[in-house]
Amino acid sequence: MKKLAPVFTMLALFLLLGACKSDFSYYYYSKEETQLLSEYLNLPELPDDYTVNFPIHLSNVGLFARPIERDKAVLGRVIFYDKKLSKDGTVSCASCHKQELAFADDKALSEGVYDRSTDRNSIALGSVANFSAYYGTDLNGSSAIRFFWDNRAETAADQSRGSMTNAKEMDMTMHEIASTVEAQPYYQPLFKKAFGSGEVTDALVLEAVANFVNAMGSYQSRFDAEANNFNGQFTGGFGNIMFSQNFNGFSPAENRGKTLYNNNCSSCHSGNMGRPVLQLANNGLETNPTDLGVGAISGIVSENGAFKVPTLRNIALTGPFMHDGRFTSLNDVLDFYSTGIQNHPFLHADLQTNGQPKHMNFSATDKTDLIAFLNTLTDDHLLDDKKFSDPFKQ
Amino acid sequence: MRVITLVCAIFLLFAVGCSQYHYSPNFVQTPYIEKKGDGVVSAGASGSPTAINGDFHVSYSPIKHGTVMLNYFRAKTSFENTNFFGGPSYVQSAKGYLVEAAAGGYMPFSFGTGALYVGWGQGQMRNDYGIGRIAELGLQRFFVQPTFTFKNDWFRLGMGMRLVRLSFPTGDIDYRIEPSDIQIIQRLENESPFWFPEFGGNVGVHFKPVTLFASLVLVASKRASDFGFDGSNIGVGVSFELQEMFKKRQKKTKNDK
Repeated sequence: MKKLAPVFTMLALFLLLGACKSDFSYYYYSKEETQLLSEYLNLPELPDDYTVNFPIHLSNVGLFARPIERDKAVLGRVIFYDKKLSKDGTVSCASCHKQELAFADDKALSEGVYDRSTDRNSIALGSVANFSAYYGTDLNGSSAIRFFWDNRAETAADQSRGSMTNAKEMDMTMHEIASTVEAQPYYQPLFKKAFGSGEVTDALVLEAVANFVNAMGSYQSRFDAEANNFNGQFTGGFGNIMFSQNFNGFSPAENRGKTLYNNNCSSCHSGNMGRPVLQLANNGLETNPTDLGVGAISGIVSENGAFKVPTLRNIALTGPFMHDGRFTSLNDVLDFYSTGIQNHPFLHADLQTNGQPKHMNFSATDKTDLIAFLNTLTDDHLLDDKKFSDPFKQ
Repeated sequence: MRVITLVCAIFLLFAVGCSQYHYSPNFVQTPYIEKKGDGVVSAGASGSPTAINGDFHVSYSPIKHGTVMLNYFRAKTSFENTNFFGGPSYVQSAKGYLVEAAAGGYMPFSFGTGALYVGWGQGQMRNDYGIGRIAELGLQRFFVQPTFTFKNDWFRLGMGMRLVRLSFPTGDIDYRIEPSDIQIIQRLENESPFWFPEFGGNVGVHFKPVTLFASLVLVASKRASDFGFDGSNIGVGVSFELQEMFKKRQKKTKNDK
């Protein structure tokens, strides 16, 4: 044993020498880049991970998200919040798509540059990730989901361009957007990271914003937590099995509301809160609508008065409701569907009974229960997730 | 003394390492040393599943039954990858080296020579992921290696088992590297140090004082590929047995006289 002690000592010494504390470092920005960026922006030393991870109950039915290019999403975040990219320097994408409202606005019609009123209600972007893999396909094709209430934008990049160049929103040309971006010193290192060079073009600007918007997803609602508990019980479709059973973590009112939702709303808005079932629908807001919606863009008469069917995730936060923000509360919406659906030649079939507008006739209790259920679709995590927040120093 | 031994043993068991990325095994060196004054110098070229490697080795017995060894190993690989940004493809590459020293004892038997070596070395592995994205990692390897060698006038056979403790104490990682690769690096960090055996052997034809040999080493670890460790290495080389070179010279000098 005595003779072995020196051997053991040597071995122990070897190991101690080799027993190293972790001393490696991750770097992203150079010292000069960090100094430059920190003058204008609060960005983390290492970029955030914008990977979209669908909850099990959605991935199990085959839904997937468009891959996010992280460095472009980091750049896109800065562009999204940059008010210099508007004619009067006061409006950014975030002005009408507020994080605390799941990237919607609390006005019926938002205010663009010079306080100009926009034409339609701001759609919540908080669930673009739901359908990001399904846009860019044929108009009215089976998988196509589009942007704006009239579905005029095929992709998130198109939607960004549409708002940046809209005279009532940001009122810029894309050339002005690119020039303004190029003139800001903080964009140089971000463009280099995202695209390998500091060159700025309008296409690259839009691509960056699209990556950021594509990453916006909310999947940590109470609804998702409960739906995940039904993992493995799907046979496909949109969660019919899930909806036939009560969620253990829901109150009786929420479970009743879930049943009412499944029976009356899910055929358009999706049973599992994945991507909406329909790309567009005429829901009978008016008999003779002045705003023709999708029909005005597609030129298809049967689409007159039809509008994009939105997801209902975070619906409790994204009012006012409908394309023109006419309903200020969920109660108002339910009243409309109860007894207010108007006749229209192209009223969606699911909103008809024997060729006449359907009356869902929700009782007061029904409405309370439905609203209780809709409240479970709120994802608080998205509302204050730092990687989606305003990066500019105030 | 007993307490010190016990403490040392505990250190052995619980000494903690740190970790990082990528490894390729060098030859399990089995120097053909049987007596004081014997020495070997060798060089070899080999290939592992991902890399081309170079092995250099020197060993010498300064005292009876004792040997010191010095190894130098280089590995290199590259391949084309499509540009992440949708432009032209770019070259992704990795290269590394390891320098290590070992000491041990040997015992000749009638049927061969058994030996036990203990070694330690350090090196670096540099991965270039293209478009200027680099991960540079320092690595350290400790090993205990029993070997067996057999030789006659024209034939050499050596085999050994190298018990390895591999750790990566330093690293500079460009965070622009793909998130999936970053995750592997971070997993390595959490799961190291790595302990695994390597089994190696070589067989050679001897023409005094030169041996031409072929060598194979296998890493016995199911998880090696999860962390970018090559599982094997096979190659050829040439070695010089110094005692035979000096003997030749001495003979020549005597003859000249």
